[in-house]
Amino acid sequence: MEELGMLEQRLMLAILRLQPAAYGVALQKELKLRAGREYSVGTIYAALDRLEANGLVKPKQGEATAERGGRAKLYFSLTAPGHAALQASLKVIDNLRANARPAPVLP
Amino acid sequence: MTKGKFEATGGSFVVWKTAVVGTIRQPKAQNYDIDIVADLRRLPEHSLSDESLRAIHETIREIANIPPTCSEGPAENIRNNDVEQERNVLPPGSGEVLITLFAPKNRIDALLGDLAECFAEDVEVRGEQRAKLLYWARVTRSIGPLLWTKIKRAGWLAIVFEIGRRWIG
Repeated sequence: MEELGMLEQRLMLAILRLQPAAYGVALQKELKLRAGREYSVGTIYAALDRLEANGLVKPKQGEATAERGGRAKLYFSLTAPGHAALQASLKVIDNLRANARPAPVLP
Repeated sequence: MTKGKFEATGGSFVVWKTAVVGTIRQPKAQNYDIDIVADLRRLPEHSLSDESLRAIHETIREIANIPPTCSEGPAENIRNNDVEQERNVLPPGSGEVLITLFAPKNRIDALLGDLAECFAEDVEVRGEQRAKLLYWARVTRSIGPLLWTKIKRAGWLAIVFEIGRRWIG
């Protein structure tokens, strides 16, 4: 299984935070709030498509609302392999950080 | 209501221009005729005549394209008018067509719904004109990644087609 990219990792963490209400607009706002970067909905859905193709997330159709022009929301949740992949990816970062020495403070 | 007609009612050009500018900035203000002038010019309400106030109100309605709710009636009704005309503003249709062309079939509905939700929010907060600009910006930014996803999926097909086309041509 290929490694998770930064966007995929962030998206999966955002899905965990927002569950069970993790859909396009909410994910976009969460990423802007937490990561300080506004991704386009196209970018987010392209990344979600890759994750779904790898079996890491699964979509579920939600309710339609008037402000969405009667179109239903599409909620995403992590699958069991998705949880495992995310944990493995975060563990790599933890391992790299564990023994990293802080930069020396010059006088 | 032109500047000349407004001035004929006793209103000053400065007040008229301020009201017009204020309309562009605050299209959703309910008592915008008073709010805009009082806020931007720091003028007390009583300094404006009823005729001037009615003229400002008509100008703002013309610019904001809002049908009149009390065209006949004293200026007091205009001062106390808190009826908000509900306007059903839809996102630009041509933007939706672009998304339909480039998005995966199983995601079109969700994508268009998300864009429509953002558009509705922008209309409430920023006004219709700015909301449309932001909508187009979102559509433009979204097309690239969606198109790339399609190319990656159909990559081998595109290569085979190109080879076949060159072989035949």
